[in-house]
Amino acid sequence: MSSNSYASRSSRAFHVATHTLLETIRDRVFGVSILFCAMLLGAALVLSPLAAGEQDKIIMDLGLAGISVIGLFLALFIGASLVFREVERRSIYTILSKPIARDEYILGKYFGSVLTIVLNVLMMSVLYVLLVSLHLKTFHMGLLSAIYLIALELAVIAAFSLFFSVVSSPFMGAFFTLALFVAGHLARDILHFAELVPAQSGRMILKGITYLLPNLEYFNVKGMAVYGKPIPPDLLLFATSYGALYIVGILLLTMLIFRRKDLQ
Amino acid sequence: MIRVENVSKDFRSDFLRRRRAVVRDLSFEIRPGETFALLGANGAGKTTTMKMILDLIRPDTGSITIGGTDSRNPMARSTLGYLPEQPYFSPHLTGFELIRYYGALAGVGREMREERSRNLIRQLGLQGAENRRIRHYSKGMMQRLGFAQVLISDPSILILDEPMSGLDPVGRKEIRDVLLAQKEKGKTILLSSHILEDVERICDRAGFLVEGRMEEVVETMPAVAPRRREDDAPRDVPSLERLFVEHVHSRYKEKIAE
Repeated sequence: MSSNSYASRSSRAFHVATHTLLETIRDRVFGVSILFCAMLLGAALVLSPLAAGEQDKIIMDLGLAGISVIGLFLALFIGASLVFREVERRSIYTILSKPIARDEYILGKYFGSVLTIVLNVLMMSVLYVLLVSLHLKTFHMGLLSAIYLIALELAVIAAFSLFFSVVSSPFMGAFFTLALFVAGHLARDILHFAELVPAQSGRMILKGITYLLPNLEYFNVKGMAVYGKPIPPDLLLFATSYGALYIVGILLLTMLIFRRKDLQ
Repeated sequence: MIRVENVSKDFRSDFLRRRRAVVRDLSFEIRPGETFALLGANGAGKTTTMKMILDLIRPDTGSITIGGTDSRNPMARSTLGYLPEQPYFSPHLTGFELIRYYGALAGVGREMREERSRNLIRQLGLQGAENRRIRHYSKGMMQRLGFAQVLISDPSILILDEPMSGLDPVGRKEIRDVLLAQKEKGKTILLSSHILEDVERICDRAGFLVEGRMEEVVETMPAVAPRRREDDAPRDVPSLERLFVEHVHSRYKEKIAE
């Protein structure tokens, strides 16, 4: 394949991505998510005096948790309905009737949703950093590392969300993604629990599932950041590689399934 | 131009995943520059056939080529424009944004895209609404927008599924004029329609699909201008309506009788 052809292919995926971004930021959910974040930070500010001596930590912790949870719900909402909605509304027919490969469409949809999530995290982070720097005057770089890992975790979640959007309905997709998020944060506990299962077959199945699930705790350095502990660069590098590997794997699987799908 | 050879497709339709044949051993060819109509009752396999040509649905057996290229190759669609029945587009984009987006997907360069988008908005009577969000568009406007996304790449092949469905007489005439203009330009057109009067006026040939099989291909369209009543038609020149009743309706009556 010529380099020209590669360029036009990536350009088509780019157009799908930018239009996905345009559509999703014009959706009411995007604005509402920013509003929720502002309200959450405001609530943290109001309620923090209740935690005597730990006010700064409470505000910083609640802020990071807010960015993570609101980002998660945005990823769930966008990702789960991304492809399904276009199939259901039949708008996908006209898009795929153009000379665009299904893989390019999936890539475009994924990067469009990630761009939306990143923009959302950035906007929430600006509010957060302003609050921490101006009000608490305790800003440090560890908080930015924590935000970076939240965004990376959401990019992994978005890949799974897109996968579920291809294989199931928006409701089931959102449910599976949420379950994956919870299980991903409990991966280590599930592994310990597996050791306690008496039946060997059950133990093997549970362990197998745990190894397939992404361990989302690798992206969680909120505690370290809030307490001002330095985030080792090795940890950031490992989490980045780990997340990238999962994203690539899930996207390849999604493409493989979507290639064979009949769009009735 | 478009060659469909021995194509069959089954769908697994119900909870028990039983197979239902939708298209059976279908073969036909659409020649360059001709306008071909796929006719048949609802569920005859017209839309499925079109979707297989577009590679939205993969045939179980057989092959489809567009201009000699396998339809599974995305590049086979570089000379093609498709309008589905009752098209729907993202409600958050404006009409102008949508036309440019489809132009970009079709590989039309930026300057050409801008120019053609403006021309199409004017030609299809969408001036004044081009910067409005699509969620505020009426059904007729949506249909015209659908045509704009078809024509943005100036394709040599047009595949149109019920292009006049649900339109009022004025809207129908506007779309028919667009089609006739494309036909005059020498475009190859495949369309499905239940409005036989329009088919007679626009198409060169027509194929009757009955239960997924090509029952008959009408090679010469009956003379229709000016439009005459069925009773006025000479006995030796059957109208499409009579042929439709003969091939499609009678088969369904037989089926009901069984």
